[in-house]
Amino acid sequence: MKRLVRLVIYLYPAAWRKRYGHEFDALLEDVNPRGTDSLNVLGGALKMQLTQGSFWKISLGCALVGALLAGIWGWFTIPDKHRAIGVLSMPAAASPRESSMRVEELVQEMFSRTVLAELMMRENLYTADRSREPLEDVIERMRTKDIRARVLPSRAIAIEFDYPDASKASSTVKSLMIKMVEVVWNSKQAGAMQSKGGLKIVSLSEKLVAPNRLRIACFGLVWDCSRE
Amino acid sequence: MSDPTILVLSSLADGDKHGYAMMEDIQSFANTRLGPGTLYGAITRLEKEGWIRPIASDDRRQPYRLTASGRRHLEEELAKLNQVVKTGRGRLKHA
Repeated sequence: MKRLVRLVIYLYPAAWRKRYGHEFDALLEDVNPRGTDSLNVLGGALKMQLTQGSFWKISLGCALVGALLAGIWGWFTIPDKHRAIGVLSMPAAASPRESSMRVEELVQEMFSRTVLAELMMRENLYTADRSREPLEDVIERMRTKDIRARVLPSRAIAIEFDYPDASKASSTVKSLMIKMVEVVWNSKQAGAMQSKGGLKIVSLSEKLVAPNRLRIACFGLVWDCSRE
Repeated sequence: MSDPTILVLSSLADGDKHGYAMMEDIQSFANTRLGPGTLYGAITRLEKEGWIRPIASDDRRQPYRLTASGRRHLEEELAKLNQVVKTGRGRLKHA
């Protein structure tokens, strides 16, 4: 802690350090600083810069505090995101074009307003958002930001869903995969896909996608500097 | 009572003290712990105003002494404070 406080002393104006640095250091030797003392010394340094120091040092001090606060804010308030990934295998299609067209149709159907709204209710997703915003907006955000499907080179479809609650993310992707399998099985247009056994669920996994807290702190730094 | 300026002046009113001795003294008579940044902020301001001055010392710790103008300033401030205390007490009695 002493080492941290001693570093903070460098934020005081040079003229102040020249006059009081030596005795301030002696005081810190006696005090045995606590955690709050480093903040107290930081506050004292900023105040001294405002009254005696040069402009760039004030900016630097404010920027550092801004970045620190933004980092702390991000750390505690931005929820973690969990990404559930489900993989379905596709039967061999007559042509790659046929395959990609069929997948596109399927995804469109799966990510339709009706299906997503039904999922949202069943899995109890976005409850806070739904109480604040129209359902259409929440569905649109889910479709454009949180859920996606892509065709993998190994003739498989991956469905990904990002959500703060890991179990809800997994359960949503599972429901979507089951629905996809059912839709293909029941579809009259499924053609080759159906005759060759339809879609098969291969795997369902989940991983933590942490928010980029370093980026948040940097944003705080840039934002603070631009205000000066 | 948390004005660091008055606390430091009051601490020096009964003799010269260095920073750590002031912190301890203030803690004992005002039950307030001044952080190092706050204490030296007050010392800087008081020295600039000419209300305290450093005195020669061989130690790394720098003792300070209350000046005559510092004493006058402290008396004025305490008188004002006393007036507030009297008024407050009087009003509490009649409430």
